Amino acid sequence: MTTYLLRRLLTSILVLFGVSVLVFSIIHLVPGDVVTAILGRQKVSAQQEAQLRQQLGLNDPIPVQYWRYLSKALHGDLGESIRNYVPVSQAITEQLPSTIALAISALILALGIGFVLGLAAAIKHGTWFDTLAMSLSVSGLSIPTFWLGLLLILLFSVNLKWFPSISTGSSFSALVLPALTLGLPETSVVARMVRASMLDVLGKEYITAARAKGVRESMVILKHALRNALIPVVTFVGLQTAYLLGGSTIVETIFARQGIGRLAVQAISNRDYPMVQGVVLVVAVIYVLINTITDITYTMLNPTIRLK
Amino acid sequence: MSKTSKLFQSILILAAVSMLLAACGQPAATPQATSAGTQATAPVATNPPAPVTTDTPAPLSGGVLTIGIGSEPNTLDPGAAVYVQEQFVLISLFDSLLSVAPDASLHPGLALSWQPNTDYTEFTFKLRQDVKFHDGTPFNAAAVKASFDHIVSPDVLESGGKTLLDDHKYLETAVIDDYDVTVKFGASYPTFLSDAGRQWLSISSPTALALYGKDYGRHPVGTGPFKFVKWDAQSQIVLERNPDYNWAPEYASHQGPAYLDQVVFRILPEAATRLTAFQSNELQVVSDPPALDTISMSDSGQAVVATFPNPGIPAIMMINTDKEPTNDINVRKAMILAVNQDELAKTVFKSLGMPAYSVLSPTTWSYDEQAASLYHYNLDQANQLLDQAGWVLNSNGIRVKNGKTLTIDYITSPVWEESFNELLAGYLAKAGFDVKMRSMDDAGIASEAAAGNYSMLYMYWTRADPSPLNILFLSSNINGGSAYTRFKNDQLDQVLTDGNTQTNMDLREQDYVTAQRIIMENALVLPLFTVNNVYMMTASIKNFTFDLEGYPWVYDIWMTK
Amino acid sequence: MTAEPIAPVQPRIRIDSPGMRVLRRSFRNRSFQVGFVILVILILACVAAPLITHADPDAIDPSNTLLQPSQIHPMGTDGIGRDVLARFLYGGRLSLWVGLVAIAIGGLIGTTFGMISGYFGGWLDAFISWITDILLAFPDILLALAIIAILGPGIVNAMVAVGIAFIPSFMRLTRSNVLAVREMSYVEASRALGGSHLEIIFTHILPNVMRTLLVLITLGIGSAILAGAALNFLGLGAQPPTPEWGAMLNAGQKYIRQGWWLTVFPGLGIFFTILAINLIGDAVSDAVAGTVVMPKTK
Repeated sequence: MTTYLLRRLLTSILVLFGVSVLVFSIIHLVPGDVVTAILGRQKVSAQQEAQLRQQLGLNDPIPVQYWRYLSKALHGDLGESIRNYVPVSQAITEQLPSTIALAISALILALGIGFVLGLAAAIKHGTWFDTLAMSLSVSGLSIPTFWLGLLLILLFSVNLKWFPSISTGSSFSALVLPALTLGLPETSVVARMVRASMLDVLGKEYITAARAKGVRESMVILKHALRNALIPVVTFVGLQTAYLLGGSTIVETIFARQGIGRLAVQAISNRDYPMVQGVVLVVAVIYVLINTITDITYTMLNPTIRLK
Repeated sequence: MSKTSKLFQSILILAAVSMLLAACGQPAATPQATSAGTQATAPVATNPPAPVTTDTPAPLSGGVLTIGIGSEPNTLDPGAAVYVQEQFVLISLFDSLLSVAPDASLHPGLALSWQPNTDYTEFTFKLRQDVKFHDGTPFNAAAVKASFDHIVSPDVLESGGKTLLDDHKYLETAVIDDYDVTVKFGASYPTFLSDAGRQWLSISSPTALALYGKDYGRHPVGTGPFKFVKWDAQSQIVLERNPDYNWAPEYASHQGPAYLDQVVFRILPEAATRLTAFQSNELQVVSDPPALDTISMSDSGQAVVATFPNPGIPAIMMINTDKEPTNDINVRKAMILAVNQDELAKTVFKSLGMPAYSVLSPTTWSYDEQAASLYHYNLDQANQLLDQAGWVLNSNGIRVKNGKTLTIDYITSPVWEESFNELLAGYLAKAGFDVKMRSMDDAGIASEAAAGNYSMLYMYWTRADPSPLNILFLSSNINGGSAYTRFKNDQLDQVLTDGNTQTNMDLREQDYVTAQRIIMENALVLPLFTVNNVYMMTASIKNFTFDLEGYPWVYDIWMTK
Repeated sequence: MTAEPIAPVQPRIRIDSPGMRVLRRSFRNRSFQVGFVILVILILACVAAPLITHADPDAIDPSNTLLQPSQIHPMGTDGIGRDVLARFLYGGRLSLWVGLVAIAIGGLIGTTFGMISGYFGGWLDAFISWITDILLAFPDILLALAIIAILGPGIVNAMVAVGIAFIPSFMRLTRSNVLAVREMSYVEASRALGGSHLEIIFTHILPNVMRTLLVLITLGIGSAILAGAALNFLGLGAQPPTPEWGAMLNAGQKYIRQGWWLTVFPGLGIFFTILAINLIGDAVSDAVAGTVVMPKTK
């Protein structure tokens, strides 16, 4: 177990190292001169330009620049926005809670609805309800987030005027539409997963045995099947962080909601490279950490993995 | 994306410059622009300018005013500011040495009186003695010196104020005693007094400047009617009433502290989002609302609309005369003739829009009717010109000459009104142009513009005076400046240079009339529409007026319960 | 160099490849049939756009803006009078094309590296897997955004960005399949008989890997179309006036009160395309393994 843990952690550290190299490279991969791109229309003397180059540390050899970037990043210093000179880490800290609130609401929604739907479909396997639930779920998977958001605005904000179309903070009414938009495709995935794994488990020998012993069906499902069917769902939660963080770019844009997704989109169109780097780095680090934790939890829940 | 609008807000008004109103103090210099200043009625800018102040009951104090704006300021340091959206907020936070009334007349501000020397290189101000900054620092001669010195210091990389001071070789601010100060320049600066009334040259607390250093732009401290409370990035800027405020300009409709408790600027880049927020009562004022909705809401009485037709350079395309195929004057003429400005303005902005036919808008001093009458939409004539120039239509409806297509390289910004971009491309396509649009942000446009990689470049410039023509057309500004047509003409250079320094107003006017004619005769620009500032507000907003350049004058606004 | 001496180990490989078997089996599936019909209709409509409408998707008509759907304009007109049906059909071409090109980029590169990684193993495998892990550390839309940040907005760049974002999934799946197939007796036999690496890869490993890749390719095209449309929706892909479904939705958002048709039709186009592809993908995946394989979706 310890060996596994160590190996898993080592892999994560190696990946994080690679992530940092990749993110660092963004500024160097930009075609053309990054200083020109930053200064833009402002007419600046050669002296000031050299000063900026110095300030960005672009005169040093690349490995030196990388080392400086890494050591600063490890101390929480992700540089400054070149648009409004706000420290990148500060901007991200300001925006992150809003994104997390959105992601968690979407996840709760997806797990709640998806679970019930999937479970019911599995129990009623082969009936019209199963077909309906699965049709709904494949539709939910196929609907583009950005279109769903617009349709929800059209219906609930423009026509019914139930919820605001712009969303700030974490109040219920502000979160409903964005969370629905972000969570609906997830709901479909959860429903399909729960159904599949329930059907799988329900066909297992020990369930048949339990039924043969005369255990009531509700008990079979609750006590035996459900518990085992839950394992893949747990992993799913971890894996979906990526989707939720990524999907927030679109949802936050539609609902003009604060958050790191919107921060990223705006930084890209503003060519605010330090900001782009910062957001991408933070999201990737969060993702790697959650994946590592999920893997480890999963391994503990399911000891057979360790043998591989 | 937005309507009329993001244009106004987000595009860099390079406006770094001189001569706000060379004819300062001459009421004739600012014709209609001033009367429109208090127009808060129906959407059409030409409607009767009934001031709203008279029929209303006594003003009420209190309330939070939330204004939806499209672009976020980069800084709230007046000395580092450039953009429209910055000045929009700064006007409530800061005061300047002078106050410029909507009719362009000069009034005491932080200075009680002023005296220029004979060659307009030194200006002596007598300062108010009863003013203190939001942080408690007393206002005095040292504060004036600190503010101006800050602008030219390396802390400020580039700004509107820096350009003004640098261009006129700012020497120093000499403190005579606590309340007397002389600002000295190395060059004659006849328009300094009116410039000293603008937001770019307003006065900051020397304590705060020293305390925050480079970070001052996030912690502005002025003497204005509102104090800075907080700035949540990408979300909002919150100001609260300055209870000590007792030095409002004499032309203001009241004295003492402002009526509103708080002013919140909500940053909502999408015009559609600003509209929805307005409809759900989250905003009381929307800047640059979507035109279609604005008109329908105003017609149905759900909203009040105020428009401010900006004088200066209207929305134009500056055509690159240094690059194929637009180096050919016939191609440029064909471009102008192919665009139906009237229809374009109506389609995009509905009744809020007004077409432009020249390089200056009609509300600008020295506007020349003749220059504006040179071209009238005529597709046949455009086609004829292109035929004569040897551009032959191919089977795809695109013109070709010597194997090269008639391509217009058009860099757009995602914040601009897309339908105007696409409509423009559509008109040009009808004449056989192949318009290639490239979407870039300001910085991207800037580097392409500097490199000359474009066929036409979007521009507008709000000024009551025609002086921005110098920045945009003097051939000395081709490299490293903003003379994006890259056109060299001795006569044009000569009249523009003379117009900039001429003190005889008749001769000066003649210079700018000639300049307009040269520009239009050579088809250097493709005029599009006049830029209007449009604000939509609830009926509870009273006394909504504009300052000289179309910024809402929040100090005088009050709200009914 | 012939494949014949090895043929007896796995006969009839060319006549009835695993891929064909999967396809034939999926064809009998109801959801495959439904999806297939929807997709064929959509593709035919987009390809045959000039036959369906004579309207020019870019032709402006300022006197006929924001017209309701009618006989002349079955999907109405937009804010500057362009025919929405024409823009829908021509825009669909681009949307579908983005998905195909992106998946081709991601599939080719990912499969190649997965093949190399799985087949040769050793440090090469470790290195390629490390790179894949790094790429997987970014949510794919964010990875695509980062690539756009470097390359700049544009339709080709959007294809490349989405394509690159798909490399890791293809690489991983290919690699794990190659690992499984590599140890099969007929591969060992072929190697013993002196078959070259290329020969073994192409005659034995690839056909087997293709079977499972089919699922990823089908569902992946859907995800790629969606991702491409998302980038376009964010204004980072196709530049106006080029019609594209995602970009049309973006433009339609500001007319959401005046013209519902501007928001509804392009969205329906994307929705039905993805729905059809998902139905087909489900059927294929059922046919392949009887299990649900879900690649990351957006």
